[in-house]
Amino acid sequence: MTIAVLKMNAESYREDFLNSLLGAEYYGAKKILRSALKELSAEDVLLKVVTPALNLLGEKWAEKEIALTQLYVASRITEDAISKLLPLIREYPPLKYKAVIGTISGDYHALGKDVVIRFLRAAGVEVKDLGVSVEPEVFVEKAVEEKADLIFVSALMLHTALRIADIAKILRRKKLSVKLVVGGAPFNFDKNLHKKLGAHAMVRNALDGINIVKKLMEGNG
Amino acid sequence: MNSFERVVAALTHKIPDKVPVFLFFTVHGARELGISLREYFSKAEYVADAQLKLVKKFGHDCVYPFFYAAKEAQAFGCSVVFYEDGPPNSGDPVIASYEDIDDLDVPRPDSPVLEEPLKAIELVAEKVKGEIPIISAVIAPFSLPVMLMGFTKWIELLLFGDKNTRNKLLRKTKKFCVAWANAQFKAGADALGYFDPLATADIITRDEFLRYDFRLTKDTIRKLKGPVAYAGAGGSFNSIIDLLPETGAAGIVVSSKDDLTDVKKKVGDRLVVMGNLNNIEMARWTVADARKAVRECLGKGAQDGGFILSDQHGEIPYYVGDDVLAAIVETVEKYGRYE
Ligand code: B12
Repeated sequence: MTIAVLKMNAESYREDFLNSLLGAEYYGAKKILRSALKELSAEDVLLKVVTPALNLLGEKWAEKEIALTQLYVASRITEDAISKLLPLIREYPPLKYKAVIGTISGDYHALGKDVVIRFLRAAGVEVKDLGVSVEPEVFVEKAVEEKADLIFVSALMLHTALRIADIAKILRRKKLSVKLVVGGAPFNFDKNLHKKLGAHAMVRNALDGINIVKKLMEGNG
Repeated sequence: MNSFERVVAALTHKIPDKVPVFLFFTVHGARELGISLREYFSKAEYVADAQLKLVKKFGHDCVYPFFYAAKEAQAFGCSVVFYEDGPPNSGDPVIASYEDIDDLDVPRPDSPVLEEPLKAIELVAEKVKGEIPIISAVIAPFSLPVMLMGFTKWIELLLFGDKNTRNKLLRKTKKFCVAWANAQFKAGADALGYFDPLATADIITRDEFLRYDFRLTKDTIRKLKGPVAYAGAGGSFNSIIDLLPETGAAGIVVSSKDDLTDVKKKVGDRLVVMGNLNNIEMARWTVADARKAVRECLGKGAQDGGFILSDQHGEIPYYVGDDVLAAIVETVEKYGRYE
């Protein structure tokens, strides 16, 4: 009788990894990645396990099945994985864009922004964090200074979200082609609010940030 | 039927003359009195006076002398940030590191910070008790830590932190919640919103609710000396809706993301269903939009009673116009009659 050594492939790791993300099991997810690294290359772990699992997670949220805790754990584990795997990889990042991000003036709620940052960085976007309660002029100044392609703004309350219109106005006045992307609770409850404020796009959840970058920037050449 | 009788009928699952309608004004009072929000919330008299003016103006079925959520954080020692055109927020958290939880004092309901909110309830009670329901709110023990330490710290403690520290904190927030809620009942509140947005599907999973919050909530609500409505502050209850009747709550405030027909079907026989106008969209509604939205809610929620029309959160944003608010009440008057 022979003992078959069970070798797991990327696909089954991905499935296990996704399941632990869905269970918001940080330590479980970490363990799976450790095992995966013993059998797969760092490239494969990142591009065939981590990234596609995050995509699947994003799709789940689109159907409204995902809780903040699941997303939070996913962003934490992704951050860990990236910092460990990136140094081992030659061809990365896939998205060579620059962005500045912050919460709008008067808004001190950092959590949404911080989760977004982790996912964007994992996708290879270079993100400069401007912190909380950032004035509209400062968003634009910093974007110019950093030569950013995108400005990301987060707002938790309606009355602070409305101040984002000033960023759009300054961008138009200065004829800057930087893309303005917004997110946070008020935008999720009013799907047209971002248009009224003059933003180029709104993002429903942190994972979707990556898709919007692709969409906006690919259209931009 | 006066407003009070109408709401009691809804609460006891009897058929009232028409659907009760609650307009949860938190910041409009300042606009009504022509003063800043900071000034408005500095005196119970302002809040009570404005609530009575607003209920006279619009003819809805409640007064809501609730100040703002961050008031509780303020009682614990946090600072508060005021705005010109929106509800105040909690500022610097009182828990800077997890060690601070040990020394965290639970404020008493007679502490100076809470004096004005209690007085506002007493003042409206003197005028309308028994005629118009007096509604206020309390933040659930599981949700309050967000304001005491910041959301990230609370999530970290919940998911990765020390269990004893977490439980110690929750014992303190529970103790406060019970005392603060009962003080509001004693002052004259008829019912409270029990705000637990952290329990919603937007924030945690069903498993996490069962693990961290379900028992805590049941234990808390059991100790309250009046009825509460479980409120998700706009978050969806779809993951835990079947569990909510067991919490001891008398009602539920439904998110605009959730379907009223579905909610009524699942819990309508045991909980009064409230909602679910989208308060964020409301800020740019026309009168026609308002009418349409109200009729949709009535169509889905009003059947067989047990329903109160309100916004999904317990908060009408500053920029919602008087014409829209009047249209909401008028539409209920016209299409929300039971006979
Ligand atoms: C949980 C909650 C609470 C909790 C915790 C709030 C907190 N964070 O401090 C408590 C109980 C404390 C609370 C209190 C209040 N709340 Co509250 N609350 C909520 C709830 C249910 C979720 C908010 C939340 O924190 N979500 C978690 C964060 C991380 O999610 P997020 O910011 O949406 O971010 C995600 C995405 O949007 C995206 N994203 C966010 N920003 C960006 C930016 C970019 C560029 C991208 C790409 C993506 C992105 O990524 C994140 C992860 O996917 C919402 C309703 C809802 N369902 O959204 C109301 C809500 C935010 N609350 C609201 C209000 C009004 C209040 C109060 C002011 C009420 C009062 N009168 O006192 C207080 C203020 C408290 C304070 N901070 O001082 C309103 C705000 C809108 C308005 N009316 O102006 C909301 C929208 C409810 C409503 N429908 O009216 N609340």
